[in-house]
Amino acid sequence: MRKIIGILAILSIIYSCDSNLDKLVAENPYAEGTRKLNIQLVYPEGYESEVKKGVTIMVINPSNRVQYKLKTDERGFATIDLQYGFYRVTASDKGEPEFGGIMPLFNGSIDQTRVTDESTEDINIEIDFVRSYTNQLVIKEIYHAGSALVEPPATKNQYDKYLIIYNNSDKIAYLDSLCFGMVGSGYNAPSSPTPWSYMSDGQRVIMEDIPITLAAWQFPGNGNDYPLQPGEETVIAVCAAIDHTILYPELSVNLNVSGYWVTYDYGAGFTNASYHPAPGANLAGHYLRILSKWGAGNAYTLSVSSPALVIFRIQDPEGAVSYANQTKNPQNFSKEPGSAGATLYLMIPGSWVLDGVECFDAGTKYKRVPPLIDASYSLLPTVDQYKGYTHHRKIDVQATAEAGGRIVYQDTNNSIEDFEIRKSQSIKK
Amino acid sequence: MTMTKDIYKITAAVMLLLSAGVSGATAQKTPEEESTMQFRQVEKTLLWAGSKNAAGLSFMNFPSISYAEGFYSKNDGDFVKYYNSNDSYNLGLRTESYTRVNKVVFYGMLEYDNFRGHNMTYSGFIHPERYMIGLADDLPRDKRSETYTLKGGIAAPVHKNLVIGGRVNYQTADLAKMRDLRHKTKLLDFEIIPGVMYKTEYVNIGVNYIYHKFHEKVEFSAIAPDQQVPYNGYYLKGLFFGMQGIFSESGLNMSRPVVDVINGVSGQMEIGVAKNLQILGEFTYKTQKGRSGAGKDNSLTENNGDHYLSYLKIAHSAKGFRQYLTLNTNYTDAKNYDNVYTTVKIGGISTIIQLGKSIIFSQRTFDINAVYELALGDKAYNPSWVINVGAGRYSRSSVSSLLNPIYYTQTVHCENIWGSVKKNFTWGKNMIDVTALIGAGRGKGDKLNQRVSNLVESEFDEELLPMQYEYLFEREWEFLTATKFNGMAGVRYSYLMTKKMAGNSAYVDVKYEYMRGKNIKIADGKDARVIKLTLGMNF
Repeated sequence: MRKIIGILAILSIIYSCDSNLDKLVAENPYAEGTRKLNIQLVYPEGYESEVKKGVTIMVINPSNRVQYKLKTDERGFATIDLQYGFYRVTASDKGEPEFGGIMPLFNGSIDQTRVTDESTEDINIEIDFVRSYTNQLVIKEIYHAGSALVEPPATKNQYDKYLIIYNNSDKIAYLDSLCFGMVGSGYNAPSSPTPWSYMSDGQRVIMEDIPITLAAWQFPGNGNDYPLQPGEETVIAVCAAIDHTILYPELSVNLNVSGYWVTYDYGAGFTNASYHPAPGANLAGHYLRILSKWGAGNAYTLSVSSPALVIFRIQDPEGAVSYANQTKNPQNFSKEPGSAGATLYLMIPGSWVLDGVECFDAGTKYKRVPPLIDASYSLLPTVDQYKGYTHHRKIDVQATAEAGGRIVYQDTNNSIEDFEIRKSQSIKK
Repeated sequence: MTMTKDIYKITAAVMLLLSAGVSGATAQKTPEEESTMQFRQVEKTLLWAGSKNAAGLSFMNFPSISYAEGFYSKNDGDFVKYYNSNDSYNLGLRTESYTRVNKVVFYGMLEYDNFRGHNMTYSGFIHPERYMIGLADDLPRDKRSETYTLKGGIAAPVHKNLVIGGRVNYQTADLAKMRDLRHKTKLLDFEIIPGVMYKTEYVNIGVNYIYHKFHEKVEFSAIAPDQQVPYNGYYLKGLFFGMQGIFSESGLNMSRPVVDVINGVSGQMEIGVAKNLQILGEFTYKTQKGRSGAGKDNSLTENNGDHYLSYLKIAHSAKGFRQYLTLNTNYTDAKNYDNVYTTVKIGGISTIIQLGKSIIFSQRTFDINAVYELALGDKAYNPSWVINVGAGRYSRSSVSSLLNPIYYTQTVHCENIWGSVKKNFTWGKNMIDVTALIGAGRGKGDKLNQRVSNLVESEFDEELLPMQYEYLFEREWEFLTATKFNGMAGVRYSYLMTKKMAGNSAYVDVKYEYMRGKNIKIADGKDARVIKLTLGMNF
């Protein structure tokens, strides 16, 4: 009898242990080790009535690129349970058209929201929207990651970089005095928070005045010399304005094309013949000049991996050349915060920027550009470099239809939504 | 907590099978049996030989016995675990001994094993199933390893009724993959178990403490990289989900140390039910903490687990036969966490800031197996017939939770039964043992379920599902659940020595093992074979 009871006891142990195993797969593993993040959108003064239900908030985990899309309720509020880590939170919205039919854009982001195990209480953050408007001139395409020979020895070519500026409006725009430059202390997206930022209520905020690194380039002209019609574009070769398809036929492009522009100012100090060879004959008279250059480098090295580019107009009453004169106006230059280095960077108010795009080679990098200009980033991973891949703005289908077939590109000042990666340059024949 | 109730159940189950009686092994030796003594058969008569508490060695009532042997085994066949070789050999030496010096009993084992295998890949670890992470490449190459194992035990009475004892188990091994993407792995496994036992007329009670630390360090490298061949690396975190990339020192680098420390305690109770019938029950609780990565502050993952083990042995002897029933259970509950941290520069110095731990993998296993042995014959240490019947069941539940809100679950149950017969022939100075074994097993379960946490009410980009190394996942599942048949046939010839100085017997042993799976689709073959040759001497 005792033996039977003992056997039954052992069988009950087996059943009990099996039940414990079944309980494991029935439990939610995320019930522990998470905290609630509450997000409140705050519209700028005068636009409080724009608060609405259904605004998309993106919560991005940069370490694994997981993105959560939340929708606000009628109070502009959303909430989510998140595992420990740090997240980027970005939001964009369009407002009601204002006088003249101009539609305001609202963008906001917090680059590093920390979700930690220091407490079990909810984390409350506010995203302060910054208002901007869609611009006439937008950056349509950035090609920076280079090309290579398809067959061995697979020699790489990083000198065929370019960007395209496009007139996204229904009115004539002018390239005269338009400037462009790279943002940040270095060429590449940083692996730690940009020094041009500060902590506010536990969250990291990027400064709205942006530093231009290496040099600022400017189109020539007296105001009406270089028009760009609605739907027209112009290509700026950033290194060698030559026909790269001679040596790299499969993946590169011909930049020696009439109408293209090139960053070429030999006299200003960029004399490196690999980066800045004599431009092709078709680009005669289409040279961007250096507005301001600092440092002793002899080449304008647009980042192969992760540039942040802006186009801007200097709205100083004394003119762009004066504004960018370090001797005459040293207050317009600044050292890198917290750095002992002597390098000075030309500072541009964010409100002067017409358009900007932040490019990353990995989701784990840190932003350099404030949400006023670009709320997120466009990602071209390292493994896709030297393949002829390019960041290209998406077409706004509805706006294009409304424009009667003239292509209108999407412009919400949020690159993760506005841009896509294409596997070939748009100018490749 | 449910496990506390199970502890009570195990204790009650053991107690139900017990009643008062005497203690100690009852097998007796006679001088003429000494030359035919077989080590393993002698060991079975010592009830406490399978216990963690070495104090039980004091019940040894047979003459000192030892053996030394050299072995060679050749292993072939594709129906093996994903990290094993389909063409390998082991070559080694082993010696083992039970010795009594006055009142003190010693046990010792020393082994050297040299292994070489072809076509090996998919894991950088020496014991991959011990860990909750996997570090692997996918280029099959030759691997070599050397393993040194030392085990020792001692039992010494300090009082009429009090015995103290201790076990030390030490193993060190080196494993190397001979060509890129190559790796070298070092193992250090150290366990110490001090124990004590109190003897009475009716019951013996023991308790021991366990400290166990094992450490494997894996280092991958590419010495002469072939530009035409991609060196894929895998960092897997349970159910073969994880990261995949091209191996590089600065990018995906699978090199890291893994350290685990186990602390535990066991309790034993031996009761003699009747004359020549003893029952020993043992319960063990162990808690495990481990990490991977260099140093506690820089660890990449941390794991913890609880283990509940029980061991029951019943020994009964009478004129002409002995029988043993052994029951083992093992319940484990383990979790693995990613350490989430960020690095910032404060005053020019990089500082690690811990943000928290995210659970990435949890697993529960339950293993139970029972063996019944009937030994027939007048010689206690060399029975004429030995018949064994065994059955086992292994269950496992796993949850992989790498990307909130998605998680994956798996459950598997594996069962096996087997039976063996050994016949001993002795004539003059010659002895032959012939053994045959057959067995079968199968498994079933829920292979993989994808679930979504109901705590995240948002859209989720399903293109970012975690990467799973599907080939390894399917291969492991197939090996666990396929219907398998196995058999073994062995012959041992012993030459009996009558002069003590030459030892008791010298032997040569040949064994052939075969396993075959049914409906095998993932592994390259459906069977596996082992042939083992051993030359040794009992003394």
